[in-house]
Amino acid sequence: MTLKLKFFYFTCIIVAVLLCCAQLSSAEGTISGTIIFATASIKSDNSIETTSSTQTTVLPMYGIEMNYGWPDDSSASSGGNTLYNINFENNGNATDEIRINVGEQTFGAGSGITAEWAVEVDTTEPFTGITWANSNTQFAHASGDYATASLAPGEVATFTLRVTTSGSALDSSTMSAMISLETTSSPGGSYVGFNGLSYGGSTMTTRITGAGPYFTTQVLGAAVALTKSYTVASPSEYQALGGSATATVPGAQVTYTIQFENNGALDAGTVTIVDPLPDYVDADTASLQLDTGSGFVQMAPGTGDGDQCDYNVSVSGAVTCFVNMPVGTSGRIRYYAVLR
Amino acid sequence: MKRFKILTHFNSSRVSLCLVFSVLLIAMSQNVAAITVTPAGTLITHMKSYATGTGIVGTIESNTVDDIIVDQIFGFASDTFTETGAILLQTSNNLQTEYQFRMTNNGNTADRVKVIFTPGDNVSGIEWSISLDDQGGPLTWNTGGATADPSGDFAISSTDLDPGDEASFTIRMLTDSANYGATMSFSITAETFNSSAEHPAGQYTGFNNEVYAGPGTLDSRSIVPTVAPLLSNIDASEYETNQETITITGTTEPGITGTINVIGPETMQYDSNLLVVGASGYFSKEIALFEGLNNISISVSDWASNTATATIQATRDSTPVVTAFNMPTELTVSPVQIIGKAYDEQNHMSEYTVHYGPGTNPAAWKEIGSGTTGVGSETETGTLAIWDSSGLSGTYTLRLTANQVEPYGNPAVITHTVIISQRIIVSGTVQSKQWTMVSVPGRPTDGDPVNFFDTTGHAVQRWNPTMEDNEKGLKYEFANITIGGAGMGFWVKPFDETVTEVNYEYEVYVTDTAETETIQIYEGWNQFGTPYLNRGSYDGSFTWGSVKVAVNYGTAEEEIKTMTEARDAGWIEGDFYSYEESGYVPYGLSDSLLPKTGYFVNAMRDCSLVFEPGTGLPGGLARIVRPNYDWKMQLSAFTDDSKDTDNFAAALRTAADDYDPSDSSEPPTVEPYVSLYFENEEYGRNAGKLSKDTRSALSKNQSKTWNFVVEVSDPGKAVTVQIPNADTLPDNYRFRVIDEKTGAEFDPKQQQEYVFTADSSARRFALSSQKIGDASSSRISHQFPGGWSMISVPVEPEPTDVKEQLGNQLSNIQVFQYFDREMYEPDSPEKVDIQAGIGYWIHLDEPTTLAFEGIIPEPGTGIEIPLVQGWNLIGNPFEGETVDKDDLLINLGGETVEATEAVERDWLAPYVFSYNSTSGGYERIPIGDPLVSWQGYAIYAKQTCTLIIRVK
Repeated sequence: MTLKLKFFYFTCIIVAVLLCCAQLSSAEGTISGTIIFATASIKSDNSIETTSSTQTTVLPMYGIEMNYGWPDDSSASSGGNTLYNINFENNGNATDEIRINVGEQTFGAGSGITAEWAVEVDTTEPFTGITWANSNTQFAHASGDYATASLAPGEVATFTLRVTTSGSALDSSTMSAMISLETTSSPGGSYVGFNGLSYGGSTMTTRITGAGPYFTTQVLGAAVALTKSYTVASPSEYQALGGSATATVPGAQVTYTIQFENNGALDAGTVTIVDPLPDYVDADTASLQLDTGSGFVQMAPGTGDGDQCDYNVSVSGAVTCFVNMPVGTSGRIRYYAVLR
Repeated sequence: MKRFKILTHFNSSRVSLCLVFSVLLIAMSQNVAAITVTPAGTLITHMKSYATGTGIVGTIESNTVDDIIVDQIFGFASDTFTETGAILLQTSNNLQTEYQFRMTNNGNTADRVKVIFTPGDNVSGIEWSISLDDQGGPLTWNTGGATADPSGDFAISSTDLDPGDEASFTIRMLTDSANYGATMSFSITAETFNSSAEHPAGQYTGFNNEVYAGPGTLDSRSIVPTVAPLLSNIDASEYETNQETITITGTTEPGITGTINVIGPETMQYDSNLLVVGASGYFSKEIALFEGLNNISISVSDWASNTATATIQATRDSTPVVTAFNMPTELTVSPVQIIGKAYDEQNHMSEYTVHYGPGTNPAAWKEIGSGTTGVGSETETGTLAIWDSSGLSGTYTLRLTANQVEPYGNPAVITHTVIISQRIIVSGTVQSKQWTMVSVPGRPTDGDPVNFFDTTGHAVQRWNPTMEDNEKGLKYEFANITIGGAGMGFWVKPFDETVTEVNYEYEVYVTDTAETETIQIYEGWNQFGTPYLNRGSYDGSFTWGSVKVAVNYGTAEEEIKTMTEARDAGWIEGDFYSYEESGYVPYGLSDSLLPKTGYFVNAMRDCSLVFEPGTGLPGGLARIVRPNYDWKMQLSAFTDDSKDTDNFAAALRTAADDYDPSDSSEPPTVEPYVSLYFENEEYGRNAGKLSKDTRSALSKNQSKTWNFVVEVSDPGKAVTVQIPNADTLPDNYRFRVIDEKTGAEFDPKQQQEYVFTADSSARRFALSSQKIGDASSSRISHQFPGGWSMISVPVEPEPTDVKEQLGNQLSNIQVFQYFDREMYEPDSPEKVDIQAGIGYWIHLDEPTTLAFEGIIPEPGTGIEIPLVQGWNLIGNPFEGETVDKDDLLINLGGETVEATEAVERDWLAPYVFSYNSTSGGYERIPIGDPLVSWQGYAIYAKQTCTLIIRVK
């Protein structure tokens, strides 16, 4: 073979190698540990073909690339849950243990029993939960915890966080914690090769735009409030005797009013309002009335779903009303009683 | 202070008024209790309202609201002055009249009552004063006194009344010098005390439609005290009666009217009688009574409707005790429960008694039982008595008598006839290897006496007086003996040497105890016995003296005599014999025929022994008087295997020297034997062998001779002749016995035994008796205490009839003799005979000295007193002598022992009893302790025997 031809061959091999590398990934580069052989032979027409070879091993490098960005803050009902999906890729050229960190959990007012809040993580569907390192359970330690997932070079995965709220958490209460991803091997980082391509990725990544690094989960619910008041009127015959119109004498009438409202984010559904009567006072069971903005109307007795009221039914010695309270509802319950 | 005069009077109308108030107050209290009022000052704390729901987290509570404090209310429960029209008070002069009213605090806090007195009219101008009490005592009026100012006053109740509490007030009005019809008036106002403008009193209706509090002021209507009519001296002619009407009398105001209402014990039993009072005020009204307890109300009223009422009760009972028998007519078992009824519908029964008597129309009744408690009811029967009818047979009538307590006394008598038929088993024992004389107390179902005994070796023989004499001069039959009737006797001798006693048992038809039973006997000796095993609750013993004797019984020529009469008529001998321990034992009229024991009796003609089953029992007919002997000597003969103990020579004041009823024949012998008998060939038809030869009493210096013979069945044996009672022979007689074969003689008082060897011929003896002195007749007297006494008389009176003895000393002779369970009184057919040694009951109105005339028994004379089984009355027969332990002897079955030994042998109870006239009680005296003259004693004999009293 001629020298030209041999050189041609050599060139072809180099090009083939380069072409081959360029086809794997423009960002990941050659897999760590790859050995590259370079052999050159010269042969002239009258010479013996001489061959010379060298080999090179590709070194590892690590980095994470967020595939779709970080999720936004979320909300859930009291005792409910919400999911945060975090998609990422091992942008190194070697398998890596990718760690997800959940920082200390902080709770806002009305968050109820904080121990009832829970943060779980998984990488697969259906969600079963994997074990956190600090708590050694599937629930993250409230003071901070982490979990890992092994990922081959160029492999794409998802960490799904599931945040469960406390059943006793009130409307608008919150829980916040900082979340980050991190490589566990080195060297890591992002660089641009001579070929102008970017290799590797971040060794630590957090949400730094928008709401910041702290993910906040908010509770949505109803917010019901009651206000009770009464007035006393003495019997007319007593007043005719010269007695005071408001004298609290036996036989006097006591008018009870209970004002209610729902200022929460959710409907309260049918709310049971109970007003226990004290000793010496007898309720006038025919006087139970409801005012939801259009004036007082007589309430039907019963224990059903609608706006109903009765005495001495669900609770002995008490007036019990069942009132439907959508978001923004306000109204009054009124009834009369007599002092024995 | 002015005093008004009002005549007040307490009577039952005021009680009625109080009753009305009480009823009203009870009703008021019930109204108050219906409302529960919240007490003033009660703190009512409201609780928060709260909300829950599925859309709500947790429980939402409301705000807190203020507490409530309950205000005061005041008022009375209701108007206590509820009368319509004026309140009439009945008053009486100088007596307090009370008017009571009560106030209940119907508020919800403590309060007091202000009582305001307002005077009204005083028509009659009577003087009065008014005071006021509440439950705390007298109240002080506002004017400072205990009585109200006549022009008006008020007082405040003494203590706070809690809600619902009641204050009771009593207005006391004292009037003076008021007459019937006087009147005045006043009124009372009650007010609440603590109410105010801020807390007014008054009734109002609450929003719950309940009424609260009450009036703060209550006014009584005019209270008008008037002097009510008097009703006094109410009386009834009878309060307990069996009549239809009684008369009610009394006194009240003249001219007013009234009623007498009678309410009987049953529903709708009501009768109203108009009462018109005359000008005197006295009234008398006959009213009819309902049967039972009547509530009688006498009521009068005046112009002001003041009433006076009195009530009494009277009971009418004209209905006799309800009596009934509810039992069958045929009875086969004993005892019998007498089932029936004896109760009084008004519980007035005093006693019921059940009797029975023989036949369908009994002449005599015997008590079965009695009671004072009612038996049975309208729907139920009960047991009236238990009748031990064992031993009875035949037709009997039961009688139930009942009476009421006085004054009702409606008697009731019913009868019920029953027929008793029974068969019973007769059993007993007889000694082996010796003869025993037995009798059959009933008609055997199997008449062969051989079958009565369960041993194979025994001999049976029966004396048949209709047979010809055999070679030994006897009338025994040994085979083909049939016992075909009750009361037949026969001999039996078991041969079994391995035993001492042999049992026998056989069945008999119970002899009809309701009808007369007869046993045919024939001239000569007869074996017989009582036909009864027992008679009801009594055993079958039959006193020989109470057996009657008939000839031609059941024919038109029938003639019946008592045993005494028959003996005296020469039909039959008065003595009869049993055979005991190989010897005959004689018995007399006072002795009893014992069931199952066989006896010999000697009849002088064919006749029938007549047994009347009621005879001899309490209520029976016979009584025995003790014979009055001058002396009675017992002569006995013994060998080593036989004896003949009870032979007597005697001097009896009422006896004849030849054969008479006081003599007895020697019964037939049965080998081996020794026989001692008196030989009296001169006695004509009854000449022959006598076991008892009784002759008339001797006159002074007179002598008589008794010839007696001793025979044996086995010559060669030693024979002992004894005079066991020689020490009882009197001192005024001299005796001598001569053995006619040897000429030997002895004085029985000095020598009580004589022994000789018997040969084949009879040994003859002569007993001579000479009276060497008289027992003089005397009149002795003794003072007896008043009331009841138990006495004896230490004299043999002549005559013995107490009426003849004391008829000229007592106008009403109450001397009673008790003998054989029967009490005899002077007017009874049997009379009361006074004899030394016998006890009597006497009742004297005052201490009285009584004199008795007769022969004074010599202390050395043995006084024989027959004792029947049971209680007997005895006495010391010797004037001025004390009977000690050694002076009391008992003879039973031919054996005589001291009384103390008789007690040990269980013949007698260990004590006698005297009656203490002063204390009215009995005093117990051990037998053997001294018995004094004139005192009577009760002695209890456990067996029929003879008491011999003689002082050495």
